[in-house]
Amino acid sequence: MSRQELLSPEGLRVDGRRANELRRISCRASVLSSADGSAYYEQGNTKVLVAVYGPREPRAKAQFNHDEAIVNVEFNVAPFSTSERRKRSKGDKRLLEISSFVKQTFEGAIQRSVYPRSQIDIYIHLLQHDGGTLETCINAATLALVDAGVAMADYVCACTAGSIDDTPVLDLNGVEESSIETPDLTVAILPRTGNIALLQMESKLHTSKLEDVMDLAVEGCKHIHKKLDDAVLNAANDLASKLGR
Amino acid sequence: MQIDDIPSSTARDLASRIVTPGTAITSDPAYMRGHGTFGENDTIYSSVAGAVERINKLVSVRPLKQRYSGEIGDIVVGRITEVGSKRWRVDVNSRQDGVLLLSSINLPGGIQRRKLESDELQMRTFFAEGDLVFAEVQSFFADGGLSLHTRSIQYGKLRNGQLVTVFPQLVPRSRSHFHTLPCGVDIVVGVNGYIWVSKHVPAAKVEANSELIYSDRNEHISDSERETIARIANCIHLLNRLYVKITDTSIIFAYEASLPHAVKDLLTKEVATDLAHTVKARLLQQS
Amino acid sequence: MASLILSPAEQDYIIRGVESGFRADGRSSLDRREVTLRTGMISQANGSARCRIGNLGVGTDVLVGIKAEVNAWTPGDGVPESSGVLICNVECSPSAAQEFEGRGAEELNVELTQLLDRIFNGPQSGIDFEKLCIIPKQAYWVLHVDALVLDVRGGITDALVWATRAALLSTRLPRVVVESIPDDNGVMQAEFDVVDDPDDLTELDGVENMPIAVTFSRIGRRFVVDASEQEEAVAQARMTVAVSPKMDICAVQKGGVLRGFMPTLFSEVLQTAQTIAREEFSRFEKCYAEAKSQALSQIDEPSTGSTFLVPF
Repeated sequence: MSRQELLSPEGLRVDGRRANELRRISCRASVLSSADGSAYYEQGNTKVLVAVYGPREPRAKAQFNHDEAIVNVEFNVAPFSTSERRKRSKGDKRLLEISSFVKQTFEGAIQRSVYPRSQIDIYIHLLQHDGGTLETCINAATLALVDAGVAMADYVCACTAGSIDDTPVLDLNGVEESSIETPDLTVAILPRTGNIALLQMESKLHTSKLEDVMDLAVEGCKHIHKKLDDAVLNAANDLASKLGR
Repeated sequence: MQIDDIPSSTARDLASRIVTPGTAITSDPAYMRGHGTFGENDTIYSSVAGAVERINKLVSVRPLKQRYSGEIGDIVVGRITEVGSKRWRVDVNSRQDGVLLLSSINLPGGIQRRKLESDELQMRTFFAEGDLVFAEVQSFFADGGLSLHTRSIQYGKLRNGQLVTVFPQLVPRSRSHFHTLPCGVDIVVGVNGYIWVSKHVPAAKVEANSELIYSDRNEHISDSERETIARIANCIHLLNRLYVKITDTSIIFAYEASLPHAVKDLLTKEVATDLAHTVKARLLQQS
Repeated sequence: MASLILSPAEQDYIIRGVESGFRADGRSSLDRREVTLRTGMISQANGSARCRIGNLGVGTDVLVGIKAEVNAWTPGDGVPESSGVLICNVECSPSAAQEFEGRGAEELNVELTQLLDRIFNGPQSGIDFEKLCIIPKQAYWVLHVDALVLDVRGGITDALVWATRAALLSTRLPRVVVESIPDDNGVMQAEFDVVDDPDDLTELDGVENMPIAVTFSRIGRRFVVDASEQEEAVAQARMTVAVSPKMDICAVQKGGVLRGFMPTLFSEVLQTAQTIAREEFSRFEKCYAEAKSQALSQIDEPSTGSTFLVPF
């Protein structure tokens, strides 16, 4: 696919968005009944379901940590999630990489020292894939962790940005992401402090452009923070009113 | 998001606010931070989504949904997960399993009897994996783990009924967590969200026969007793799903309102919603 | 099926309750829990459905996606010359039980996959597989049925069959145009073209004949249908019977090793299965119609029609 097709002369992208526009985000907490916390999150056509268990007794007695909780992430891609059906093995490197990124990101945000000798499990299902897997996984996991009442120093909000024809573009979809010429930057921030929790880039980008793309991604994260916080507040107010506070 | 700089005079406003992780609660140095909060640069922030609570100068955030976190003196119901040489591990719906030491239980044949080596060899005759116990939180270990005890005649192994699991946030701490309901059903409302519903057995019967403390055998339960136990269990389940506080009072209200319906219909959406409304209205009326 | 350890007193309470015809949640032996069904949440799949068996939002929760692909026919791969195929795959998620982490669910996955295959893959399912052939000995449709078990509270099999049935009913395939074009030597060769038009889709043939499953659990001296998780933990044997809308028995599978079903009990089970299946078919029709209207009302919604966003 050539670059011209990704960004029209009028500045519109393949799905009709402007360069600095996020895809539509819809989310909901407490979608599963057994898990301590759960969330469903969709950004455009990418859809993710997350279940959180814990903090709970560590499953393998040998691996617990005496002064803080361990975080365990399992990432699973539903075979029907991609345009071509594909079943991935549990040992798929790409899957393990995403689990590992999510794990590292949340190890920083969860107040693990509050839960010595316990384990927090985050089980992620990618139900439909259309770009931005890592960002949606992180946002969905944040929502599920808050739903489970896991103590966190802050939300973790993630967003992607790239550059098409030297124009920074926000929140890449599947088509944009798969174009090899489009650099693809995923940023996760802790919105209260603005600290960066995760930064990952694929393909190449000129140094002079990096800052603009990065700023745009951070801007996207802030919007997403608002979305997540609204969802959490709505759910919390709903429960609080049921309890009759 | 900043609800900062609240003067002490308006401290009442501090309470019952709904906050989310990372929200600044106050930077007034007079306050101390409690559960669900953390301090950074002289400001107290929330670490969970929930309602702000203030007791004197202690500010905490009570999460709306979370696993059980114990306090000394809590009455809990737990399930044995592991039998060790001098201790049992007990699932209490918390961040780690609680511990019940052999020295923290009453032995059959007299409360004051000394623990013998033979007791260590027959741990499973007291409690085995899967058994449900009614216990009290005695203390905390250094790592935050709960130490339980069953040294009271009413504590011990649970029989003659079924378990219902609810959100621990719905069970307020109160003076008594063991009730005999007017309909002839005993309930143990564990603060940890595990609730045992069983046929009423007079306390005198157990006192007269201390072997019963560790018995696995149920008493004879008639069909009508079974129906009442199921009705109470379903009432608790619907209160939980509709997020209504679970106390002996709310359970009795739900039970009374449920009587026109068949037991199996209580868990249909329409009936459950209707009953929950009735219970809430009666609770409101009462307070 | 997930390991749940109950105390001897709880086990005894459940078994005696079943024997006296009064189950722990007040149901009698043939009563079933509520079913919630939704369809169309995976927009990139050809068909999808989510089914939950349980009351007040707590229950066994299964998601099924159908992906259709065109395969080139090759001799020796076991596919009939003029037929399509259906391939089942079940995965139990650790969100249902911790022991399903990693490869922990492998054995159960295989068991459930085979069971689903036994019910849906073949003439017993009623699906017209010949219609899934595009050009004999050249090209055919493969229907991938991928099921994800998200929550387990008893009755996985029945939920899987409900969800698969709904997903296949909602499946739409692109139309395929077959033309005969002469090759260089003037011999007519069949060629096909998949029409890429989201409004030009066809339903699967024969899906209305698909069976429904009724699982019996033997507890004490009696059996119950739609066993809860606790009841499954004390069940000594399990039997799944698939029944077609014409009341033919399409598949039978007995699981559980502790005890057998006595032959006398077996004929009773088959008869009861047919009675219950009749009720289940009308319940399914009602739930599926509701799911379809739900999916339709959400087409204009921002959220591409996902049932995860509405209370389920």
